[in-house]
Amino acid sequence: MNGNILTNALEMTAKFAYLKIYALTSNFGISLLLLSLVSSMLMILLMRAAKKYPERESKVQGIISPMISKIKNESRGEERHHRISELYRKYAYHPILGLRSAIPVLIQLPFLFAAYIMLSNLSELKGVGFLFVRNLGAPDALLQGNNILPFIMTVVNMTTAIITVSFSSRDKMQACVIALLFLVLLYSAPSALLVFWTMNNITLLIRTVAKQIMRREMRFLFLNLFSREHTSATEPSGFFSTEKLVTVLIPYFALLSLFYLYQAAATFSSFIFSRGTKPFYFFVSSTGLLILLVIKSRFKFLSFGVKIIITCLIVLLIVFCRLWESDIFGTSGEFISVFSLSCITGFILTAAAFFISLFGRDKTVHKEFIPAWKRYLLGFAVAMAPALYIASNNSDYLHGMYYAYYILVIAIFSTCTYLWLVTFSGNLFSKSRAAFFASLFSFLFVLLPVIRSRFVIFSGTDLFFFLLFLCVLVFFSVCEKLLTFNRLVLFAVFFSLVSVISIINRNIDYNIFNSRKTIGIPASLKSIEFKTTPNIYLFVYDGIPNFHVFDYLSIRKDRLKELLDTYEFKVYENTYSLGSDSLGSMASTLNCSPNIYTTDAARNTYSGNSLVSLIFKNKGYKIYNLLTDYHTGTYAVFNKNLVHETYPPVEIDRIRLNFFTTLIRGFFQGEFSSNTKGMKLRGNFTEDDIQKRKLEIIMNKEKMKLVINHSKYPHHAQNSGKCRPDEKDIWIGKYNIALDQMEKDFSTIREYDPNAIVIAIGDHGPFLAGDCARLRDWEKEKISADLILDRMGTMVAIRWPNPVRAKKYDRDLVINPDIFLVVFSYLSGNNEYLKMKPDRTVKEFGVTFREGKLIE
Amino acid sequence: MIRLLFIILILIPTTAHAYLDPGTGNIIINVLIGGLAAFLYSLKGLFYRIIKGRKNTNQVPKTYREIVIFNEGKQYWGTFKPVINSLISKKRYFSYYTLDIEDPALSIESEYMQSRFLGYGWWARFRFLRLEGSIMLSTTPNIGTPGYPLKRPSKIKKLIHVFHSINDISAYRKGSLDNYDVVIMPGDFQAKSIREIEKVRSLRTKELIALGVPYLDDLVSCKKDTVYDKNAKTVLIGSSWGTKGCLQSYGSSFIRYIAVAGFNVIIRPHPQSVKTEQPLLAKIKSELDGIRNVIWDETISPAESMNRADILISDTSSIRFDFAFIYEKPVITLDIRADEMPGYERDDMKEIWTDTSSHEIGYVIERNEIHDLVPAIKRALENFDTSTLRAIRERTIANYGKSGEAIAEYLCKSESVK
Repeated sequence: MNGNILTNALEMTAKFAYLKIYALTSNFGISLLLLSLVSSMLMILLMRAAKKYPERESKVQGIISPMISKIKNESRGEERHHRISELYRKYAYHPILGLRSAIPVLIQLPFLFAAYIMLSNLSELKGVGFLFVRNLGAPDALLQGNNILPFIMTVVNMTTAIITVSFSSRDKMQACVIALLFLVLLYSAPSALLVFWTMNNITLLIRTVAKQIMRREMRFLFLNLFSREHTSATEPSGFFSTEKLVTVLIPYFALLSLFYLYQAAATFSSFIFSRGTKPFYFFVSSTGLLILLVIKSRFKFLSFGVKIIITCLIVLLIVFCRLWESDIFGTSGEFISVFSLSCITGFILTAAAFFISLFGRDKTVHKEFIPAWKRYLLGFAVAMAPALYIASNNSDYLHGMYYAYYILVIAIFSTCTYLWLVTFSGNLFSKSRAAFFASLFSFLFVLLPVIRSRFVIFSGTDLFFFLLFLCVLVFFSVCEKLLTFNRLVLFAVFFSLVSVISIINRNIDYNIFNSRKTIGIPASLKSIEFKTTPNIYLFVYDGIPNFHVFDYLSIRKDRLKELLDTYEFKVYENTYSLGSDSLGSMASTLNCSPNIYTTDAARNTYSGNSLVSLIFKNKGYKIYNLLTDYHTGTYAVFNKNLVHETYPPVEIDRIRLNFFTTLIRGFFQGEFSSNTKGMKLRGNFTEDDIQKRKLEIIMNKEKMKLVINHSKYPHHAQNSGKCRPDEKDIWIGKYNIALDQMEKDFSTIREYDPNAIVIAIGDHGPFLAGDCARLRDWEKEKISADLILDRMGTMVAIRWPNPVRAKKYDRDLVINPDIFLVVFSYLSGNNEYLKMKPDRTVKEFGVTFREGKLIE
Repeated sequence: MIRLLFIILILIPTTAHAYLDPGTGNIIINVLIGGLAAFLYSLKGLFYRIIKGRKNTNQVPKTYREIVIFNEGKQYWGTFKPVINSLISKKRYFSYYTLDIEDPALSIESEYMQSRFLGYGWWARFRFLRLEGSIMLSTTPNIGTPGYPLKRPSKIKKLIHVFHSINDISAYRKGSLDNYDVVIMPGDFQAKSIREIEKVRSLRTKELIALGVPYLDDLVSCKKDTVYDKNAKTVLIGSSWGTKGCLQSYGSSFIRYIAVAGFNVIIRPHPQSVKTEQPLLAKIKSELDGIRNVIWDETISPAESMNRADILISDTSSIRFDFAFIYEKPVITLDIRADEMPGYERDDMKEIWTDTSSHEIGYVIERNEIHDLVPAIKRALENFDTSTLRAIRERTIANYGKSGEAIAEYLCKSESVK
């Protein structure tokens, strides 16, 4: 296969798609299922287009076959050939045309080969488990060394063949034989391939079953179940059609592809431009889609030229705004630049123009008895209801002109969906139906963060946003078709359901979450005995690095050093964290683990479900978490009973539904909807409030408490991928605030709790050298150990009640996850725990780093 | 590589099972056999051509090329059937070309007739362009009009148009007959508008001859006088297609309205809708799904439905005149305003025959009176007059019931004069 360009290209494409999906789900198994789903969907679409060729063939065969049989019976030799030739001429046929019936099969081949080659060779799958499969890269060997998956696949294949009504018994037999052949051929193939294959076949099985059921009894069964008169002449009953379902899902896939398109563009950007061009690519891709939408639209009154001009204007606006851009977003995403506002305004104007054009001009639509304005008003109200509901719940989050924008963005969202459906669905949708689905789409999009957070609270799992969206949409669509309910009734039911869940949520005791899995504590740590039980304060000053980094960046460390010396802190040299982001870094610190954590897992850890918290809790400590919504998200609610106090207090009905920010950030930073974590609202609580509460807790004279606080100062540089001219000065300003906080904290502790262990750390570096961000497009050769430390180097300083006893651990503390192992050793006097220290190697930014040096 | 090839061979049938519509599972095996058969067939053809000197030509022999008939689709079979039957009985050689593989004419076996299916898409259009003949009879408007798929074949000397409906050319798209040399009209009433358009566009004067509409011949012979449902009256909804059709411009709600009022409803979409507007039909079907007293008729001939119906509701469709003239039953026209159908010949016409005659054959319901539809049906069923309809027919249609013969006669004469 060496040098085979085609197979290589196929493999690369499949691998690219697979790894892209993996980047979103972080799970090879689920990605495999999604890949299979995506490829089946794509194939089904392509095949729909190629369907006409076999249809033509079977049509012509249906006509000429009986005639040919007749000719064969009546004549022989030359005469027969002559008569058959005449017949072929009459019907413009040649036997070679018979090959056209294979076109749909040929279309599928590249997909299947790509998957086959890619999955057989993908080294990333080695050792990766999924569900009951231990290693996706090898045969499953589940039953005493025998493989099970091939049999599952065969059973699925055979079932499909047998239940397909339109198969003749010969077809069925043939399919079964092929299924058995497959069993032999793929018996020792890697499990991944079998999972992919089986999933493909399951997709077909579901499709076949659904087709057959929908056509026949099931529909009537459902109708009877809901005692709706099938003969009712006034209300049409449901009509299940795959086309409709697919069209309803088009906007969903459009969103998803926009997201992927953006991701792909961002990945490739480094090949073309040096760096910092991420948003540019997003604009290129979204503008491309916009052009398509404008040009392909069926607004005949606009000439092609006018459409081109409109498109050019939009592009110009975007380019113009891009030139004006000075600062896209702060990392918190809380302020919006002139650029962003101009872009949104542009989108709003364009969408409004289209929306207005819908009225009055296009006459080819169905005029029904309900006046158009009522229908549109209804659709609009349906989309607006949740928006207003959420806006009213977030009054301290949205203010001033953002209210107006918030409402408008939803209107635009619903308009775009509507345009999409009307433009691309052919005649499948009347305008009223399209309007209904558009409003439903917006409704779900707006409300989904609520649903998602409820889901997280109840189940403890956070589904990928798009997956959840898809589930709800499909559920709704199927209901609409199966139950033949009035659409508005269905809407009302759905809306009530959400409301009821809200009310229940407000009134239940969160202790019902017994299903929650707490992190497993190793046996040696479970039986730990503390000789002393001093109070422990873990104060994270976000982004304060170790002294080496201060020197490297030429920032004065005198005051910090003086402060730490004054309060008798032991400063550990050259310490660093294992993650360059706060959440990941702190999760590994609190679990004493070398693992890289996803945002959700890290929030779960930070909110109380961590090794450190649980051990102290078991020992009778009271855990105080002074953490913001960013650090804990809805997990603050979920893990509420694992901590003594969470501050700011968590209230479930104040879930932060940051739809607006999400949407805007989605447009400009490529985080389209993937960031709606349903974070709780900090409400009126400011950083000062948190600091104040912290001092109160220090002063309350309680014994055995673990107080965790993560200050927002000094934080790291902004994330744009480019250093601002005054980047360092800005950071120093915030660093001074952190020093003030430190001084206050340390002096209060010295006064009220002199025997406590105080751990003052940074969670990552200040990001002030290089690109002032995550070196995404930075040349690998230019990445030095210092640049890495600028991102990962952290201050670690501990005030020990007994510095002499702590002295023997001086060499044991190098990375943040070491901290609590040292603390455990100190408290128990047992040095065994130091053996659990995690590996200190960091693999990030494309390089490997260990203890101040780059390896390789 | 061998392993890969083996996998290819194994994969193919399974992929067919995995994704194709059920029933096409053994497609690859068929294809392999088909490919082999195709090869053998070609080899055989080559053998006879070389050894036995048999010519292999796709062209129709010259004798058949004097009179050429071109049909766009099986829906116009009714228009050509009487003409073809007449030509065969006159023992005149002619050729017949169609764009529809299911055209019933292809199954006619007669020594006087050579028929050919032209194929699909661009290939069919290419073959059409290469047709040869003295005269060509067609009912397809807009042959040779810029922007339309069919160009006028250069080797056709005289292009003759025959109408497939009782209508004037107002319902044709612009430029419909600009490239025709002769127009066979249903009746003399059309001459005025055709001449008017010739003048507006400075076209050369066409030969106009009123010989009737041949498809009426068939319908007249199919007419029956049977009462199908004594308990309820039957309403036939005969829609035109595109923007001028009531299914597209009025939607399904008025049909539901009639059905709820207790009438039996037969919906007969235009054959062109059946061909090109399936999504629209599917949508309307889904909206009316479950209403028992609504049935659909998508057959080629409207005769059966017209026999059953007591009243017809239609739009711009000429089925109104078929129904009124042949069955002498009432007709209600749903108004579709001219500005709702731009791009038709009516833009260039001062007076539209169908507009004035709609009022002669029954009621016309305006869009804002749609709520009044059911009372209007009841009124129309009570007071209509057969003799008036008969009188209108007499002065409108030439050769009523015998048009096919007249046209065949004209073709023979025209060809021999050449």
